[in-house]
Amino acid sequence: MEFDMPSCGGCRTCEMACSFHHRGEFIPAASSLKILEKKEGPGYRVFLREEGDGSSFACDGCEGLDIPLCVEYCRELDDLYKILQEFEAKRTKKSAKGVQDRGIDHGQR
Amino acid sequence: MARDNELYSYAGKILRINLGNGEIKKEPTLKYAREWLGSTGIAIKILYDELRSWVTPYDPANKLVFGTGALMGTPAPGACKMSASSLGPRTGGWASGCCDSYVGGELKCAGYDLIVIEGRAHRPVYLWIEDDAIEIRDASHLWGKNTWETLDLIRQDLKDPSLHVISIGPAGENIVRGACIIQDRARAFGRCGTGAVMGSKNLKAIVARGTGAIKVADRDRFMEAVRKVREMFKSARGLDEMQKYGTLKLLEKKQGVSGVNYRNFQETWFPEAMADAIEPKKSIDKYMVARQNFPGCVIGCGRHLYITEGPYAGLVTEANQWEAVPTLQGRLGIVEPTFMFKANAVCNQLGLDIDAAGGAIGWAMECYQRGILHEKETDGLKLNWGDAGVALELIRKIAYREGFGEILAEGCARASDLIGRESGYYAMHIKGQDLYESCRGNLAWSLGTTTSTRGGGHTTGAIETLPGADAEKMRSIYGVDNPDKVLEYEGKAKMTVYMEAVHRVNNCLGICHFNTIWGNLDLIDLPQMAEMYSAATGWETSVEDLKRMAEKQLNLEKAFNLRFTNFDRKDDMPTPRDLSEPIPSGPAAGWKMDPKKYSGMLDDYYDLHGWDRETSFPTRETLTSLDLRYVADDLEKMGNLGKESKD
Repeated sequence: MEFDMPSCGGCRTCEMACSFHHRGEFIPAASSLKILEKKEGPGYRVFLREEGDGSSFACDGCEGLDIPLCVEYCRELDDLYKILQEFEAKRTKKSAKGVQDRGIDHGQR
Repeated sequence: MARDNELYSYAGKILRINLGNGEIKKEPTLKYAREWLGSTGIAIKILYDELRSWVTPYDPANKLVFGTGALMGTPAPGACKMSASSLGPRTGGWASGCCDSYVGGELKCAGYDLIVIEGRAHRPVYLWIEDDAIEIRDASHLWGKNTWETLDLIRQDLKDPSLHVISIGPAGENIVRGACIIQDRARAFGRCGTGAVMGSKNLKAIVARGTGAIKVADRDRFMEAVRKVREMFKSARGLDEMQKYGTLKLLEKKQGVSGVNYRNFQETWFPEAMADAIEPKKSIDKYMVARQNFPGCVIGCGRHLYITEGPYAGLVTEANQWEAVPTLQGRLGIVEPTFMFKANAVCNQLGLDIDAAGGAIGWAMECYQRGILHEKETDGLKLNWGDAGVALELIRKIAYREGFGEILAEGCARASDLIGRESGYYAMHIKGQDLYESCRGNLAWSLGTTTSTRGGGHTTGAIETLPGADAEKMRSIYGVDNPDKVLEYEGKAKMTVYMEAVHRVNNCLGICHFNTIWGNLDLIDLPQMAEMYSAATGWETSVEDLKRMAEKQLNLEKAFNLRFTNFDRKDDMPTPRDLSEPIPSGPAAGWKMDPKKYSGMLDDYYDLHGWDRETSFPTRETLTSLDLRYVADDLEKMGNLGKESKD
């Protein structure tokens, strides 16, 4: 599933953080989140993986953590958090679970 | 992917590619990494060991070493820097420039910490590195293209619009001494002329894709160290403005220390009307359309602009850093506020370093002002201050070595040798490297600049002290009583020596200077780097260990210069203009450098390093204490070993 994120600066630190959550090492190729270039307009697109394929993992919203690791490492954490919530809502359709509002620290801004 | 079991944080391998015979070899990074920190630390060791004294910069036997930071590929704050090092055509000695990069992260995930480019290709080529698969590909269709076109064409060739590329433009192809290497469209391995070395090897570009992992030795400890460092950014003072405007926030404060360049350093302060007209913060507010951040960076100083008015309306580009303001806009006296974005974009497309462009053009304009140069020598161009059209035309001529550009392409030092007629006084350079740095009135900045092993440069020891700096915090970092007194000579050597270590460790770990105390006193210092490096590699490394490795690296850079140049104490002194002319205007007006006191500052500096005061050369005792006995033997053979102090 892809989302537009006009505020994204394209640093891809989220990909490293995500892969660390799944694998305990930094391997962007195995991240469930991928930052993609846009042909037009500001920012980047955020691709979120729904199904794992053995070498990569589906986004599980970092269950068990206070906030998803990708969000913790994002400079525009509010916007990425909204995308994750939207992703979760679309994915589960009926009940939004996984990425529920856990409250995030805004001191980063 | 195979990698050395004991090695963490590093990718594991050094890739050697001989472009002359197509041979590709791999060797373990572990051969170097315990003794030399990553990236530039390993690069100087390789270049020192492998370049014989008869090698010249454009000789196929010269080597070009690309390095990735030891913490690159991890979310360590600011760990996005890659380096390019070589025997450089600018100074004739140590050349090394760092660049914000995505390519470095890809290289590490492909398994490589460094790439050593050897030999010269018979025709233009580019490198496509995809994990274990390494291809030397034909680049005839890319030769002559600018860096922006090259990026697009390579992405088309390889059918992947998300690939990142480092490439040279026409300046590198035409062996312009100030050619740089550009990552994608807007970030440069600046100064030193590494782009010309790449061009001399017929290497147009490198593109990498890696699917492997970077592992750290102690996951919990590393993530905790990173978390703590990220906390520092939340409370750091004055970071908001940096996050909003990047280094383009600096104009007012730089004006406050007479720290800019107006009309080729005739003044170091902008007339108020000009400062108001060019204020880059106003342009950012008007034209910014999006951000640009690099991996791990907690600041995010990059921004994309769409210029909607004026002579360059329609330009879409990433904004320049501060450096373009003094080095192009101010040095050439241009009032149009969007000129800096246009000139910076053109230099990036052509693969020409902005300081090399500004230094040569500023020198030429001053020579024209003083009647040393005439239109018959400048292809009929009137080199008047403030003429943006002429400036852009000269930038183009330099990159293509066309007409008068052929002379300017050599840099102001060599250009003044070619022209003669007292023009040398107006060539503002250190060791052949054109200056962006204003060396009058900010002595820790000046000392770091003039003693730099890569020629003039502010990222190998220079400290910028701006109005409002926290003196107490500076005292605790540098251990001197008067760190904020920028016009006092005492203590500046000690400050410089500390910053030489910080800058080198930053470059080796791949951490951007702006994320450290160099950019903001509340950010990363050596203790945080020691903790992150220890946790990541599993090798307990103290602050003292880091300082020692940096000192060892610096001594090897000095020795490398002594093999290829005759730089000595006199080359560590400021330019004749900076030594003899008082500051003519601005808040520091009237202040004049005292050459004797500056010389005393050099004595202190050499003493702290254990170098010979008379020559500036390292001594046997010093080199031996750093386990560099073989270097002492080499210097002795050359007659360039420093004499021991008799005290």
